[in-house]
Amino acid sequence: MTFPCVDEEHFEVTDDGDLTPQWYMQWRHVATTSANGIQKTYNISGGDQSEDLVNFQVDWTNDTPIDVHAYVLLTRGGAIMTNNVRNVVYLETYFGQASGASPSDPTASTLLGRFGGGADLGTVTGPNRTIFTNHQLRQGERTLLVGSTDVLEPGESIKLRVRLRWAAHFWETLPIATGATEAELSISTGASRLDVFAYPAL
Amino acid sequence: MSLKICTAEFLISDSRNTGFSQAWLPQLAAERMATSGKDGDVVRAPDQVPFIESEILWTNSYADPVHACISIHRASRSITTSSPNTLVLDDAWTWDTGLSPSAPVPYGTNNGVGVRFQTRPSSRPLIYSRIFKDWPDSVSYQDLGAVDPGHTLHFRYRCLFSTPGGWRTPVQPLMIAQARWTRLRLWTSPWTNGVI
Repeated sequence: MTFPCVDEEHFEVTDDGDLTPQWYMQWRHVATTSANGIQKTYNISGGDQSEDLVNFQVDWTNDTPIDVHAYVLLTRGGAIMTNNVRNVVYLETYFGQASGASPSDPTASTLLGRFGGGADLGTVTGPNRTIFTNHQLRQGERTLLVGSTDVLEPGESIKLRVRLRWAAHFWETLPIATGATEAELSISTGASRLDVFAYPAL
Repeated sequence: MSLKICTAEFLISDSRNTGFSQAWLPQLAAERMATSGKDGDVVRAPDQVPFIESEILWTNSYADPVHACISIHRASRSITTSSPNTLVLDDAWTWDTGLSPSAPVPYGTNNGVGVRFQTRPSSRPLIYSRIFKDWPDSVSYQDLGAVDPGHTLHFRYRCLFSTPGGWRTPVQPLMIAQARWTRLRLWTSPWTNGVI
């Protein structure tokens, strides 16, 4: 194309001779992945019972002819953590990130967030027993930047993995004074979402 | 005087100059600040009671489609409750896009702050127990999709107070909920190839 004289990396000249910005010369939302929410109830006398609840990953490959910056946002759904006096519980968020020509899947090992808690009213004697308490904490949905902003050459990929872990500690072995009938130990958490955004690196 | 050239999406050209159309620029399209009308002492509320209500109507008056996204920034929230009552401030939002959109009234549970400190089972007399809890401000990004030229986006937000589960009259009750404010910001960027 000789007229108009433009940088065809930045502008496209259509078959009709019309001028328009190249589609990749912009900040764009390019990939999304989500994982379902979780609802689980645990045994109040079952020990720690720590376990991974969710492990998922978002991938995106730079399909443009230029270098781009890419970054990832994590949106975590609302969570409800309920525990009794014998357990302290947390919902932990870990992440791992990799980028390059063909990176292997990262391991989500870096702690990013921790939500939860516990309550203890002590013990009574004769016989030794713990004092009944249920403690519940709720937190709403939130979005956060996770990992680093990486430069991807054409054909290179970014991968970001997130793991949610039920980190529970069984720390009081005495029976509950007024009985365990109403003692609770459960988690309910909404969906998680990873979104990749990219913009040109000029 | 400038030469007027032929342009397709997201560029404009006239006898004055050639440049980007407004839809090409990622931008803050609309903003709303809404404050809570009910912060303070609270009582039992089996049905959700709105503390904050807000909405945005925005029309894409450009010649090109845009990608819309909203950030929902909620203030620090505070709750004080007494055993065994659960106090909750949930967030809910809905949206609709079209020539004459009408988003439904937002309802929702399990998406908000709340606390319960139950120091006696339901079979026993209650004891004096209070818990004080504060959460930092937080932001949610919600993708709203494409808004075509001439189409309007209707977004609604509500902060809803409720008291789920069992309810008893506490010993020397102190029950307070503060939602403070929510700020909505509507962001637009051009709908180009590869955008989702």
